[in-house]
Order: sequence, then structure tokens, then C-alpha cells
Amino acid sequence: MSGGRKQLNKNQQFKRQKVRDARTIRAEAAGSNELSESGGMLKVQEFIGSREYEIRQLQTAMDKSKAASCTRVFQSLPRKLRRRTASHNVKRIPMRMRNRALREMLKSDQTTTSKSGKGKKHGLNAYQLYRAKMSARLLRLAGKCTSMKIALPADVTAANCNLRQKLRVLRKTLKPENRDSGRLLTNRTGSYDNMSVGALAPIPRGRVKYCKRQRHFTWLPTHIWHAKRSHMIKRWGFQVPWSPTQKCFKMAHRLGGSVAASDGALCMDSSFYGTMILRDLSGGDSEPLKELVSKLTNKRGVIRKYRDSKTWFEGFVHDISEESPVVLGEMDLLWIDFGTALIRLHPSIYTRVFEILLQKLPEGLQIEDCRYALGSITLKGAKSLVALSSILRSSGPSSSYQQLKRISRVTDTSNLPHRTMFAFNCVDPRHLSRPRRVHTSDVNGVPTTDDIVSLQNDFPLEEVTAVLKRLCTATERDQSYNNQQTLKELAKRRQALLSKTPNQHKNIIPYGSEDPSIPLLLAKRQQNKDWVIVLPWFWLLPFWHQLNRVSRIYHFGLRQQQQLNYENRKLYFPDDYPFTEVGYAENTYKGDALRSRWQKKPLSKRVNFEKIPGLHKDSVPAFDGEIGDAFTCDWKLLQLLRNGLTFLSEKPLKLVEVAKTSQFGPNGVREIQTVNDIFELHKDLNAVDQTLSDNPIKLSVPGTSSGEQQWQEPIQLSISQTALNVIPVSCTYIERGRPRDNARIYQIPAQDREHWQKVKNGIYRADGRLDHEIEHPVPSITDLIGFITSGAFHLGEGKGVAHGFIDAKTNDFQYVLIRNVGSTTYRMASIDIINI
Amino acid sequence: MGESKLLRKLPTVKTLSRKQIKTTIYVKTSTPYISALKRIKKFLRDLPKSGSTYVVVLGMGKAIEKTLSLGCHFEQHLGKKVDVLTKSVELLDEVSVDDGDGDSIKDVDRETVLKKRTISGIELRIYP
Repeated sequence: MSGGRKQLNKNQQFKRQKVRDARTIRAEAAGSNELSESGGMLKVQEFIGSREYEIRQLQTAMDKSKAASCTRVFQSLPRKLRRRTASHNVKRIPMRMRNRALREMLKSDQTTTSKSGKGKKHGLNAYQLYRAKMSARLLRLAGKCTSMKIALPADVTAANCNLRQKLRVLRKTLKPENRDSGRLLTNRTGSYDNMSVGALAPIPRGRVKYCKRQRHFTWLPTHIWHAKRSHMIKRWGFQVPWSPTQKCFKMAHRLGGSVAASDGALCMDSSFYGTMILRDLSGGDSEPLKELVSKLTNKRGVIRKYRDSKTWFEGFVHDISEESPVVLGEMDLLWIDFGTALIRLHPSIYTRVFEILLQKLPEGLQIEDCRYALGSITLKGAKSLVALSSILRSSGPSSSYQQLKRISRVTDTSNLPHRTMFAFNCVDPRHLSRPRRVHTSDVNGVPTTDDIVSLQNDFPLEEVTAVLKRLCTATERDQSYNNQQTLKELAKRRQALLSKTPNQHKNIIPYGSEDPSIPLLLAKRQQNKDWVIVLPWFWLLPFWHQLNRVSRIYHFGLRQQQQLNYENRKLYFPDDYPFTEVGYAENTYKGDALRSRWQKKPLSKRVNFEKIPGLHKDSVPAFDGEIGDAFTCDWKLLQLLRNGLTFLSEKPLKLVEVAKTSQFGPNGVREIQTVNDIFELHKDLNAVDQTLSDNPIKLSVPGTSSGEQQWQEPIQLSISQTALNVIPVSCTYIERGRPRDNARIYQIPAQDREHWQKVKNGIYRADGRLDHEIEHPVPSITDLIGFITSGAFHLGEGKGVAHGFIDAKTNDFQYVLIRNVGSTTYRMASIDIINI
Repeated sequence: MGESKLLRKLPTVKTLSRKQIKTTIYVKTSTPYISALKRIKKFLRDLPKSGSTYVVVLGMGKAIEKTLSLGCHFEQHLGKKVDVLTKSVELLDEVSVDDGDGDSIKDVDRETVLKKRTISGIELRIYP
């Protein structure tokens, strides 16, 4: 064989020719009649005509070459719908493409997957075979138990019990003479109400197969669904979806943000948020309950708007066991009636609050743990109401449901009144063979402002309260599981319906008197800008499945919730709540993770935080690099620095005393006389104890002026133990740049104000563009006023936006400087106080 | 005693239709002129995809002037056909009710009623 080009076979030649043909672009012969006879002059009409022809040819060439390069039909599917298994199993390809896909598979002589048959039996030894058979037997017996409506015995669900014991117990319960003695269920699906009064409820008894996997972290009702499609994290006693497996940052921004361009919705199974119910057993207008809730919410939760008008409350929960109210975290509150209140809490603080309440519970009050009795789904985005109205059907006449139907086409949630709430008894969503929007004949025309006003004025309070009471009573919830049907039973009914009236397509199985009716609450959350459905735990899965069949409805996880909160300029619990105990721990936790990742890198590949030249205008001997801990928001340092500066402000401020040699007083305690001493003190404290128990910062209460701070001897202790008042702010970059988490916030020094004013107005280059290469004056160490808890590039604003906390005593509330960790670039940002 | 005051101005009522969402632009006073131009051009380019015949540009109140100047640009510089329609837009205001709680509580915690208000708006239909 000689060198040169490789000989192509027939098929390759054909392919190459096809691509070549597709890429040829025709042009009209040059020098036709575009020019005038004498030359030089254009004939406009002909000139335009031939350019038009060229553009058209280019367009067709592009289309043809695109078609020529596409080889298999599944390659034309959008990213969301691509499946790796589609090249083996045609069922992964949409129906309309399936025939072509089959042809292509045959052409390339490919092995295809047909119906899933029995897998190959592997050679097992006697012991392995015995084990396999035993576990199969266990599943069969457990299945028999549930289908005979017998509750699983307690021994079976205990995960540490051995297999043979479980089998024995199951066989015993199934014996005819024992059947009646066992606890009977109301349905064949194994659903029951898992609530406990005055104690934390046990983990729900799931299926026998998965008992052992839920020993430490409970599964959500939709766990298996989520585990296939999301990255999960194990936290706070639950396995929680963190983020969908497919990339979704921009999608979450587009669909979930409050923008007019959103044409879909996002949903999350938020069942890990715990629900508890406080109830006054005596009934009537309960004073002790009112007082308790008042203390819990720092007087806010009992205001007329919430207690009398039953508006959904979002606010802070306070620790009532302490003297002064300490914020524990976020909470949702809904008054069912004057003697009953429903409280929803984040799982990280749920048990804490529950135990505090249990201790401080006044006489006559009862606390019910409904963590595993009530589940919830959170929805965000324009299509949420449309999606919900297409899966929900009321089981009886209900004015609340009529209201929902009436406004279901409204996309923008923010123009509905604060108290927008729907509660009705709902039909099992599986009755619908596919989600379909309510008939247009039921809803006349587009919703108008009148409808929205009527939503507020004609609120069916009594009807809603009746359903809410049903939702909050254990027996009623149990009642709702009555006759909960299996998929098989439903399919049978659907078949019967179709064979009775064969030519008519029926989408819904008619609701019968035997069918369960599910109490359901759908509430708008004003501040979070989302919708929450609360419903019994074992009903959540049918709703979830049906909801996810609506087009352009996607699921999201905690990561997206954090992102959307950030975009709404709202703090996210627990990451943006460093003034609470949980939030502070989260800060440390995230810092540790970052630090260990940094430590794993080789020396040459990582930023040396110990030595960063040009960071500040002045340096002190105490440190030479990044200010404070480089991996966290170093609140301890901020507290020491700000308190120390207030203390030192009585005398002229000195950074370092050069003439002095000893920094210690006569009794061996460090003296605080210069700024350097404060940083030395910070070092000392860090060396002594890494885990500082007391939170160094606290949320400033607006309106209460703290007055002059009184410092007591010893000063060191006083400085390090007086919590610093901080306020949450949202910073928007004025220039280019992108803030990151843990960035540092500085105030603008008085002497540089003029320069930064110029920067704000814009300094331009000679060519009329903004100049970004200016030398900025650097602030001093003492100008540090806060930290950024979450910062990124805001897609909605098109600018860098960051949320953080600054010292409440800052004088200038307009502009600040922000610097990312490890860099020496300062960016100017305007600040707004976040109202919480 | 606290007096009733305007707490929040609500946006217009918007309803869902995929076709409309893909062809409608709401102009705000804070929308940069060039960004609006670019977005309208992009929508015009994608019109065959959405199956609509024109792009709708909506503006009300203070943004009317900006909306009209956008229309002028498309009509005069780019030679597009532009229809201009005037309309009155119904809006809702959230007004606090005097409930005797005084100034002791935050604005968020006040009871509110919705009041209707009508202002003028403008609709441009830009044809490709």
C-alpha cells in the first residue's frame, strides 16, 4: 500500500458526498445585470434581488447541512428529554419518533431491549439461596398483611430485629384466629395517621423492604421518586433533595423567579418542614394559648390580622425558655380557630422548639407532633395555580374551590391579597387519568381585578375553618385514608368505565360515596412568594405524581430554594441567619468544609491567605494577610473589632504603639490600648477555644437605641462577651464584578469619599467607555463593618448582588466597599436594609 | 390611632398563555432603552416559533413615553409596521385599615383592603 489518502468505502463516500452537497451555497452568476451598461452604476432593484437570493441560499444551505449531520432520531430531542438508554430501548423515545427509531436500530443491526423478562439466574450456594428466598418470603408476607388491611406488627418495623423473627411474627398475625386481634387498617395501601400527643412521633412505618435504610435519616414520601432525579443530602434527620441531577440554574431563575416571562412552575416536596399543632382542650377563646404564641413570636403572631382574620404568618420563632427573647429561626403560623394553632418549622429547629414548648406548656394545653402526619408541597412560578387547578377536584360543592378555579389563570402571585387561602375536601388525584385544566365553561373569561377584590371580601371563612379542623384532627386524617385505593383497583374501575361507554373518552373516574375525600389546604406565602399545599402524609405521593405530569412543571431542591430566596432579596434559613444558633453552626460547618478542601490542594495551587500584600492602607504587626478566618464570615473578629473600636474611641485612635514593649498589664492580662491589641486578643481567643459557645452577634431591634455602651472591667471580657448588634443588608454592585460568599464589607473612609463619589458617577475613558482600570484608594483595617453571607451575580438585575450583615452603628447608610476573600479588589456597592 | 395609608401598589393582573408570554414585553421605567430594543428584536426574530403575528409592547403611567419612543424607533428607523393602542389599565392598591393598633405594629402586620385605581397605558403591536 502506498501512502496518501485512505481509500473510503462506499458508505463513507456517500456520507461525505451528502455533507458536501448540503454545504454548497449557490450564488447568482457574477456580472449579470446588476450594473448599468457603462459599469459603475448600480441597478438597485437587481442588486437587492440578487442579495436576497444569496441570503436565501445561505439559509437553505445551513438547514440542509444541519439535517445531513443528524444521524439518529433521538439526537434531535431537547436536552431535558434525552435518555442514555434510548439507543437500546425504544420506549424511551417519544411515540411520534418511535417508528423511525426502530428502523434505524434495525439498520445498524443493534441489539434492542424488548419486554423486561426474568433476569438470568445466577448460581447461588445454599446459604445465599436461603437468604434470597427468605427475604422474598418476607416481602410476600408483608404484602399479604397490607392487602388484608392488617397493620404491620411492631416487631416487624423495628429495623434491628432479625429476619426469621420477623417472618415468625408475620405468619402469626396472618393466622385466621389472630387476624381480628391485630390492629386493622382502613385501606389496602398501608396508610395510617402517625401522630403523637405530647411526644415526638416515631418514624413512619414505611415498607418492610426499606425499613433498615431509614434508621437514621427518615425518607420523604417521595424519596424514591427524588432519589432517581435529584442529588440528595442527609441532614436534620431527613434525606432531602439538594438539587436536580440536570443543570437547572437558569431554569430556576426563569421559571421560579417573579418575572413576567415565567411560563412554568417549580415544585418541591417540603414535607421535611415539621408541623405541630397547639390545642387548647377546653376550647373557646383560649388565653393561655394566645399568651404562649405571643411569647413565641415576640407579640407578632397574635395581632388581629393573624389571629382573627387567619392570615398565614411568617416570622421568627423565639426561645421562650430564656429571659430575653432569642431568635431561633423562621416559622410559619396559622390559627385554625381561637383554640388551635398550626406551626410549621424548619427541621433543624423543630425538635428544639418542640421540647421547649413541652416544658413550658401551660395547664390545659396540648401539643401534637404532626411531623409525619402532615406533608406539604411548595410551588413557585407563574404556572403553579394552573397546575394545581388541573389536578385538584373538589369532592363536594365548595365555594373555596370555586374561588380557586376563578383565579387559576392568574400568573402573578404578588397581586393577590395577603390572606389568599383555599381549603376544601379533595378527590384522590389518581381519579384523573391525566391532569387537565378545569373546563373553560366553568370559568367565564379572564380573571379581572374584581375577582381579586372578591377573593378578599367573600372569603369563605367558616367553610375553610371546617376543612382546616378536619386537617388538624388525627381521627379525621385517618378517616381520609378510608378506602384509599391501590393503583390496580383504580385501573380496574377505569377499565369498567371505558367498557361501559366505549366511545366516550372519560378522563375522570366519577367520585363515589365510598371514595375518600382529602382535606387539603393551599395557602399563599406572601414573603416567600410561593404556594404551600398541606395535606395528610400518605396522600402526598399521589398528588406529587400527578403534579409532575403537568407540562413545564419541574422539581427543585434546597439549592434552588436558596437561589430563589437570594434573587428575591430574602434571607435563607439557615445559611443567611448567622445571628441564630443554627445559622452560626452552619457558618462554621461550611467553613470547615472549605478549609479542608483548601488544605488538600498543593501549596503552589492555593491562595496563601497568610500573606496578601496591599490588602489595607495600614498594616498591624498582628497579621499580614486575610482579615479573620478566610473560610467563614468571622463574626467573632467583627464583634471584637467593632466593640474594641467603640471602646478605644474615647481616646485618639492608634494602630500600634511603637514605643511600648510589653502588651500585658501588671496582672498578666492583655491591655487594650491600640487596634493591634484587638487583633492580638482575637488570636488569643482563637488559640484558647475554637468552638465559641456564645453567638458574637445579635439582630438589632429597630427603634431601640442602645445608648452609650458601658464597658466594665476587665475590658477584654466585656468586649468579647457583648454581642454586636447587626442589621441585614442587601448590596448591589455599582461597577462590574461578582461578590462571593464570605466577602468582607468595609465602610468608605471619610477621606476617600470624594473619589468614590466620582466612581459612582462613572469615570470614562477617552473612547467614551467606562474605565475599570483606575487605582482606587484602599480602606483601613478599622473600616471593616460586616460580612457577606451569600453573594453571586444576580441574573435578574444583571449586576453583582450580595446579602450580608453590617454593624448597626454604622453612620453612612448608602454605599459600602466589598472585597472578596483573598483578593485586593474593592468594589463599590449601594446598600438597602432588608426588612425582616 | 393610626390612619389608613397606602402600603403596597400591586402589579397588573396577568394571565397565562404560552403564546402571549413569548411575545409580550412589559416596559418599566427602569428598563434600559437599548435592552428593550434588543429584546423586541429577539422576540421579532422568534415570532415564527411562537406562531404569533406581532410582538406586543406594553407600558403604563410613567413608562408610556419610553414605550412610544421604542415604537418610533421601529417605525421610522427599521420601517416596521407598528400599531399603537391606548387603553386604561385597572390596578389594585393595598390600603391599610384603621384597626386601632396605632403605630405599635409593623406595616406588614396591618389589616389591608384592596382598592381599585385606573391609569392610562399603551400597547404597541410591532409586526415583523
